[in-house]
Amino acid sequence: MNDLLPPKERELEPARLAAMKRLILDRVVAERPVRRRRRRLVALVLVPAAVIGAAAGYAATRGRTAEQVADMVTCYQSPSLSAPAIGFPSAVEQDLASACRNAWTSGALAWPVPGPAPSAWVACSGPAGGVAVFPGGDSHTCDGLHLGPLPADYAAAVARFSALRDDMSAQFPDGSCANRSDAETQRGPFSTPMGSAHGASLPPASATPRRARP
Amino acid sequence: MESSGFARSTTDADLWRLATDGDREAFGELFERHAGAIYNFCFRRLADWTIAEDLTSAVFLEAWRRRSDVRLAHDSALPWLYGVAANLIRNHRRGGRRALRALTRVSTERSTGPDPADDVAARLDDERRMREVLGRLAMLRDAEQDAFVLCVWQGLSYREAAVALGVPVGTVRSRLSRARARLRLGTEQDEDASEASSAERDGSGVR
Repeated sequence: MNDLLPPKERELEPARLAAMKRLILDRVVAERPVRRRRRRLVALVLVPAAVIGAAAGYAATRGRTAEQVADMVTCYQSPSLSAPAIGFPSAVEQDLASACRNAWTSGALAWPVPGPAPSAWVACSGPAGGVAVFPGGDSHTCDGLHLGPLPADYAAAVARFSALRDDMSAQFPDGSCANRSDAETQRGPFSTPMGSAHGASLPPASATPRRARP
Repeated sequence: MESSGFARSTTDADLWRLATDGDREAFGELFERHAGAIYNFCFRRLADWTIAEDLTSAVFLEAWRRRSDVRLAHDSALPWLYGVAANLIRNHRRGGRRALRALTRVSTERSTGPDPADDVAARLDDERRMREVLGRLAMLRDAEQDAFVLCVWQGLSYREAAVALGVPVGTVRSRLSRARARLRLGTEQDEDASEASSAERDGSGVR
């Protein structure tokens, strides 16, 4: 099978590598640190404010729509937000329990693999968007972690999100972005069912936690 | 390139924890460690050095975006980065190429080696050769191709490939086994066809 030998590997030229690194770090510098900022807040904010914040966060999480959790799936090793976890993009018709079992048995979730993969999993709205999936069949898991349930129309939202992602990839011209007015001229006013944090009208999330299919 | 100042003994898991806390330099170190491997992996799946470069940047931007969702269970971040790359390659094949380029294009001119023409010619040769090889792999399913490329060309263990592909180790093993069997069968059929063809030529020469 000598005809299956690929060409030898090439190194990225140092100048290119440096330019790529600069581009990436320039892109990421605009973002705020995640945990460090959280720690500072914990250190500085008084207890009453923290209680108010926690209540607000709880309400926000519980109020997540399917659109807001459709992009990512995070599997946890145990029913705790501080447990080892692994995240991956959502996919159409993805069985959340199977995906998390695969992550478990492959060692991606924790190594060495901590025993046989659980057969039952519970899916909740994630604490920072996306879906959080925990092992175990306890229907109170989401409530116990102050997370909202998986919205009833999650599967449809994933399909819409995936279609939107593909559509956007196909729509954007090479090397440039259209401004809003040009885009609306071409595509009509923005009123996609995806919504945004700024308020598209979306159906409320279901109040009932749903168990991931075993 | 500027050094990020981390000792080689600093593990990927340590760097990832720092990056999760927002340490750009730690993330830059992860980039320096693994960009080359991701670059070659992308080339070997797509046979295009330019797209491979774009995808390499995209892989790390995606990794940064998801940094707080992932806690590395192993020392090396590479298997997980291969997984991100495999997903982006699939998206790219579904038509994400333009958006990818808009997202990641580095404006710096390429500085080639001593003779740019030689370098360009060599890269074109690579791409032609790689397309031929990928043509041979086309008889495999995508999942089998991923397993083959990761384990055979990139040298990952079954366990590392399982992490990259998000499947159990046994699945990697069976995909690779099927891939090898199919490729062997394909080679034998090609050889048979070649022998039959030359026998036919010989026969027609006698006639």
